[in-house]
Amino acid sequence: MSKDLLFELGTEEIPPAHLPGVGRNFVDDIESGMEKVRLDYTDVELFYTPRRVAVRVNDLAERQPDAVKTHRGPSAEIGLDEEGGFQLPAEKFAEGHGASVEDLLIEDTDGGRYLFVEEKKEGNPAEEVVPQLLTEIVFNLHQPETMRWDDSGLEFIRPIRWVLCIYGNKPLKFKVGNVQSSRFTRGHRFHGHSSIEINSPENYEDELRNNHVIPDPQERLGYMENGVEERTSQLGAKMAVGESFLQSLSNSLEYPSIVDGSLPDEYLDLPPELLYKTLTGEARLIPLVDLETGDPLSLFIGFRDGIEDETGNIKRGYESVINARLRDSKFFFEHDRENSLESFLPELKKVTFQEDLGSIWDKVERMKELAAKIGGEIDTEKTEIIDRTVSLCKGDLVTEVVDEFPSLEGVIGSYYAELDGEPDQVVQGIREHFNPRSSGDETPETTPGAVASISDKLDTLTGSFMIGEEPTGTRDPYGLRRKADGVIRTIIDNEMVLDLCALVAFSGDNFSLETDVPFVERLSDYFEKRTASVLERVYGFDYDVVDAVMANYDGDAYETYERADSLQNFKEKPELKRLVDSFTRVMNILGNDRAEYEVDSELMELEEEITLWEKTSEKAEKLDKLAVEQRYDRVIEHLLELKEPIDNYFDNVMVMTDDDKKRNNRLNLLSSLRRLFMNVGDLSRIITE
Amino acid sequence: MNLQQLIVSLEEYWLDHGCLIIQPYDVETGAGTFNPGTFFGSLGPDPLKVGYVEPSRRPPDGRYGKNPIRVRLHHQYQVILKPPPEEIQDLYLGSLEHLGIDLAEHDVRFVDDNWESPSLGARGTGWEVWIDGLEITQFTYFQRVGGIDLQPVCVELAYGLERIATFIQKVDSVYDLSWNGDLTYRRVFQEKERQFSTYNFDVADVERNIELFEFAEEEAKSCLEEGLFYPAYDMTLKAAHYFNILLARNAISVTEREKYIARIRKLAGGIASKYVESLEGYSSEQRPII
Repeated sequence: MSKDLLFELGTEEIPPAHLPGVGRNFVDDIESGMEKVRLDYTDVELFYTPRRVAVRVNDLAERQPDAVKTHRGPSAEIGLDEEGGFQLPAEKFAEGHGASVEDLLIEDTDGGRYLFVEEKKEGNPAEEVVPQLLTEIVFNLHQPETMRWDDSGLEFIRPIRWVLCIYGNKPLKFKVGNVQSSRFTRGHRFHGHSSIEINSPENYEDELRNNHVIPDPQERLGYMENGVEERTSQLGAKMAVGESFLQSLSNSLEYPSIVDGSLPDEYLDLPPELLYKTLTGEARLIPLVDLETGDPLSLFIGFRDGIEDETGNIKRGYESVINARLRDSKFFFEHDRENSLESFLPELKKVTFQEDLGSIWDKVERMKELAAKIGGEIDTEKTEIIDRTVSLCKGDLVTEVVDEFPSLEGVIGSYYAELDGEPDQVVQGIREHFNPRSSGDETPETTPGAVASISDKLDTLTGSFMIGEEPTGTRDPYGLRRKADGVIRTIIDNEMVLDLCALVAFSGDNFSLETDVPFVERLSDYFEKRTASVLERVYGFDYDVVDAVMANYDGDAYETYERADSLQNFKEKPELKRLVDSFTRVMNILGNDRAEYEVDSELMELEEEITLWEKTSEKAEKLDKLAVEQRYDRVIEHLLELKEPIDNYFDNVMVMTDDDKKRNNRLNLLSSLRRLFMNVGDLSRIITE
Repeated sequence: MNLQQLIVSLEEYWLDHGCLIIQPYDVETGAGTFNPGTFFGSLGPDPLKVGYVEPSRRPPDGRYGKNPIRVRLHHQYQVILKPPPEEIQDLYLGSLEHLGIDLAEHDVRFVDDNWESPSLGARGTGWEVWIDGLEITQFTYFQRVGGIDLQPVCVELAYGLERIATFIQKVDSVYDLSWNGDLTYRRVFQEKERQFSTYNFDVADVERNIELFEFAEEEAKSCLEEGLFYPAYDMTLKAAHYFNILLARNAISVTEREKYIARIRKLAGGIASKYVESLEGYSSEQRPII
């Protein structure tokens, strides 16, 4: 026997960014809670709007199943006398569980014979179990922030003002904090009834919809998507923002209705990003661009919370507000433009980068050193362009536009550089220097952009490690992991051959800072860990491939990537699998820490031994050359030719012979062989099954 | 509805709802929160409802009287409700209806915005209230003031009077607002905005303002040592005001800024503890309420 349970918490407006997470946690807790109290159900449906979070637990059992709980008592030795009669401890034990000695069971366990008693627990009705469970869930729900609003001791993300709970068609009455539950919910604040009786859980959505609330978040979002689709196709336009913007907007509304408006053409001359930011920022409006050209349009779409805007009041209101905001943005932009980007640079001396690491000006000076070093390593002819890019890239930090819209850092600076007549490559480099901003963001495409980006992030990483601010699994306040991953991705995507360990040491020398932290080692190790993670996560290599190439990591991320790429290509081929098996025999016999010594061909006596040595020597030079050229596919092809000689060797040569000289010489041969393989990686780590 | 009527109308509404109506404080404040009605009013165990207008000085926000929406001194209507009644949101929305705004015809939103005042050691959870995209009120459940967790908590409503007036009067610039039907905001305030902006940004003597800050801080400390938390509080407000001038004057770096704020917070925290401690010594008839 089962019925549906509907439980709704009516709240004051929950922040849209936290709403989906709070909803998910709520469902998780309901599911694990029902399991804990042993009430079966088929599924849990989740609903939420800014003013409510609700679950419907379908087909919830009306009663817990009966259960038997077994308690262990004293051992037989203590509880029984020699004739098997019950003694005092046994009587006490039985009495303690409301039983008599006749009810006791004697059973063998791993630890000997013990007395047991079974307690029969009759299942309770769901109506009795559920209220306490739900109250506990509300009190303990994991939330990103909580607050107090009355004297009940209950803390929640926002005040709870009503609680609806019905099981089947019967209301369950209990208190959550100071709020008494009932069968009543509330409609839209301005377009619905303030008290709506829900007679059955399945009527929930319909009753609310009649009162201008769409409780299903997917339905609400779909409704908005359709509205945007319809409006933009009429206008020959598309949204200038991603889908996620619409999603977050949908979590701030109970009943979205589309409102469209226009803005004065004069603002279309602003940099598009500044225009979009002004609209999407606090005003939460959707900027539109021409479907064909992608150029900004003097139109926007907004969503109000409520029924359609029949009076046109809201459209006028939005237009007036966005007009004022755009006027401000334009003022900031024009005010900034009274000076060149370069003229802002001395102001950077006043902006602290990090208390122990100086100002942004100091940081830029260090970045310039680092960029020149990187430029030298990658043998570029763009040193002047790079230097100019790095010098200017932080200039927009002290502009009014970035003060107002911090996320335009880098972007607005590149516009200013362009208007100042800086070379295109500098303009592009400034624009890219902050990328990648997030794990999904693109890496810089131009050399000046890539070098500036690496210098910026590496300087921050080195400085932070020097003052002991290393990220941990749970704590990374400066986003250092993201920066390290950004450096690695930028290096790989731009095919830059760089030694990160050497760069870290160089970067450290740019700081006028005494430190006891062995930061070169620590940060190099950190880069090594992150390189492995990036290869697997971002570039999608198998973990055993990554494992194999990381065995020979020396600080060059791009080279490691290339090795992984070749190895991944060969991995599925049967001949490589066979080669792995042969190489694994080499590694097994060598162990991990054997150094390399000269091989003495005079000491060789068996044909297979001599053949392998000849092959190895013949390949050595070739493979070293191919590796330098990063032609790892060819390296692997050469290695494949060694399979047969290796197998013949192991089949016919006894490596661990009693003759010390011979044994060492044979091991030395295998070491040379290992070195050849290490041009790609430790192939024995490849899983062939 | 002109600005004067707007103020009277809000005053009337909150008076009808049992508020103690007090006057703007006569020491410079940056927001209604700094008025003793809120600072002392939010601390302490007794229920309290209080309402007042507060001219709020924010030197860095000045625009020489040239920006249509940003001003150095704006007016807040401030309400404190301790403890907050259950229907607090409706009560607030009722005040907007009392101003003649038909809420069903507009887009009214509670946009999350947790509030923090590092210099008062205060923080709260709440929203900006938006009408058709325009922020008109800060609605905050105070959780902590002067470093003390509030018990009971209270709600602060801070109405931006100029914002609401531009909305009601449908004007784009504050200077076009009608103050009393005859006189515009321009006549009453624009020249003051120009002069004070010039003083705050270009003329204020940095050394002397630093001295004034330190003088006020020292006085606050010695008052506090004597257990005189009210005079100490006035001195703290003055210190905060000089700090704001120094900010506008661009005379303080980011790190120094944090240090100044910490100095003000230390005073505010000391005052809050002294005040709360002293309340136990009064009978219920004599206990100060704000």
